[in-house]
Amino acid sequence: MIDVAHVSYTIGSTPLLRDVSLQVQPGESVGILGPNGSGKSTLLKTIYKVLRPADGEILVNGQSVLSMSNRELARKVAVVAQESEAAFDYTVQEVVLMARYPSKKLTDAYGPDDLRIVAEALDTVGLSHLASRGYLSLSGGEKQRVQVARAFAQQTPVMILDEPTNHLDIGSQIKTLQLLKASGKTILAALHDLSIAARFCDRIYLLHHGTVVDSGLPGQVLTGERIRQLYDIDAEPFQYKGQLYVRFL
Amino acid sequence: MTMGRLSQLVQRRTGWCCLVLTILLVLSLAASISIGAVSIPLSQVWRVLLHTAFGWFDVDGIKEGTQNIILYLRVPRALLGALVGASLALSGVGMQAFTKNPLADPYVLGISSGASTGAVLAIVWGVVLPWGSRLSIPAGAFCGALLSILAVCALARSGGQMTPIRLVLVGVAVSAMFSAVTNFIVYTAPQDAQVREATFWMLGGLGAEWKDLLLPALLLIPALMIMLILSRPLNAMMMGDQTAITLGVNIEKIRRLLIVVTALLTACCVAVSGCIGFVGLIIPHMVRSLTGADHARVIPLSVLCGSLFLVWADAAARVVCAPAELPVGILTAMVGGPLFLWMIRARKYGFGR
Repeated sequence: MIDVAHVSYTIGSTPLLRDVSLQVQPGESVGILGPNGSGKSTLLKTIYKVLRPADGEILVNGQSVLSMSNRELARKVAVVAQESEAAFDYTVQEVVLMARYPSKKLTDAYGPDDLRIVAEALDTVGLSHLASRGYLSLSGGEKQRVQVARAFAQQTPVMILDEPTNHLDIGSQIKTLQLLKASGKTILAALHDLSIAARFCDRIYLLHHGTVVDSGLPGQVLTGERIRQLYDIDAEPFQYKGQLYVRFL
Repeated sequence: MTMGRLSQLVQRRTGWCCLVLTILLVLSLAASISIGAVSIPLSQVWRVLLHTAFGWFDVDGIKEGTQNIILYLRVPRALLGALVGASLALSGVGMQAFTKNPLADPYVLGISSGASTGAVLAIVWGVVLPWGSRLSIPAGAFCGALLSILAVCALARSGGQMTPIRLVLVGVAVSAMFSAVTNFIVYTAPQDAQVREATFWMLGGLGAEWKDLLLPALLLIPALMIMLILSRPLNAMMMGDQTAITLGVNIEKIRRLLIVVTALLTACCVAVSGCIGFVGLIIPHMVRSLTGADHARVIPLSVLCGSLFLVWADAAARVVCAPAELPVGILTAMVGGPLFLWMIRARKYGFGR
């Protein structure tokens, strides 16, 4: 579904991504882990076309993203990024309604179907009661959930998430990720929390200084040694009731 | 109530608002035609208008002088006020969206300075064109405005992406240069009368003949349609560039279109009526504070409110110190400034923070 092949990206003379390759199969949930500055966001941005890679190729559904218009890509891939600005105060409903833009012709008005999709998306993330509130008056966590609702309302087969839960409380984190997982969409997410990643990802890529240092099942890549290499702390993965967790020492 | 009905309600409400404002605009135009140095009873205004337009009623009892004042002075002037007010408000909405900055107005990219230089050149130096005729003030202003916006775009583009912040900064610099040239020309003008004429022009006024209406009318209609079609991508762009891209908006293309539309609108306004301030700044804010930020609502309502505002401002400018006449730009700033302050202080209104 997503196929990243030998992608490099440089700012000035600083390489941010070096020969990164990554695949996500349809229906799979794949996590990207790595310390700050390891290139997680940069990698995601090259996939959703905010950045143009210096080298390599990125395919979504077998088609190069650079050959697609923004609109075509937005019908395939929805993005929850770390951008929560708003120049003017739109209501939550209006913000989520923006997700319907790529599926409409410029001159087509939004119809009842679009509003139903928006209402459902808001209901899914549990924010129906905020539909007519101003987006700017929301807390960081609420804004993030609105963005998740918007991504749902885009009704794409693929979702890319850049730390989708960094403003959420622990309950909302788990609920949001469960929702995403239950949606059956193909998911690629940059994450910070190792235990949460282990719980929700089918596979994990470890990124360090812009290169993939390891990839595989959570149990294979989240080893004490790797965690020490990436984050410079001592950690101990352990199983509890069949789940993988990471304990820091 | 279902979401579907809710939405229809909102859209229908915008439609109703537009209808009410349009009726109000027609009534205001008639009222403003009756107001002036010579005040003409409203009944006579209606009779002359309907007789001329549709052949209804008769105009036997009305002096020919009065009829001429109505048809050749007041009507074009009122219509020009409506057109310019609408264009400035629309252009203001466009610029605020373009810069994502609530403080932007139509002149933010230095258009007024360029136009002033062109106009002053025409007034003071009496520039003669290659084919022998004198450069007229509107033509000078229009060329100056386009020249300045082209300069700003070209300079902002060189060596990097044409981001809004770059454009605004380059606009400030270019604007300062044009102002310096304008001031130099005015300061060294040989005749006081020319200085007075130049000053009056720069403050903005709506003296109009029928032929002045053509260009603004021809421009406003397609501009309004383009802006309405752009309303959804504009909404998405207000959520940040990256978000807009991931929602499928081609932001480069939309920005270019937006610049062309607003620049032409503003240049045209400045050419026919000088630099009328504050309309483009406050009208979009007023509308947004009442209806919310959705451009599908802000655009049509701002256009109508801009018209109404300028029609009444011009009517007031004609009577405040009658029989002399105030440049309408002084009045819009005098009214607009306090109005804006009141809005900021009295608000629940969350611009953009």
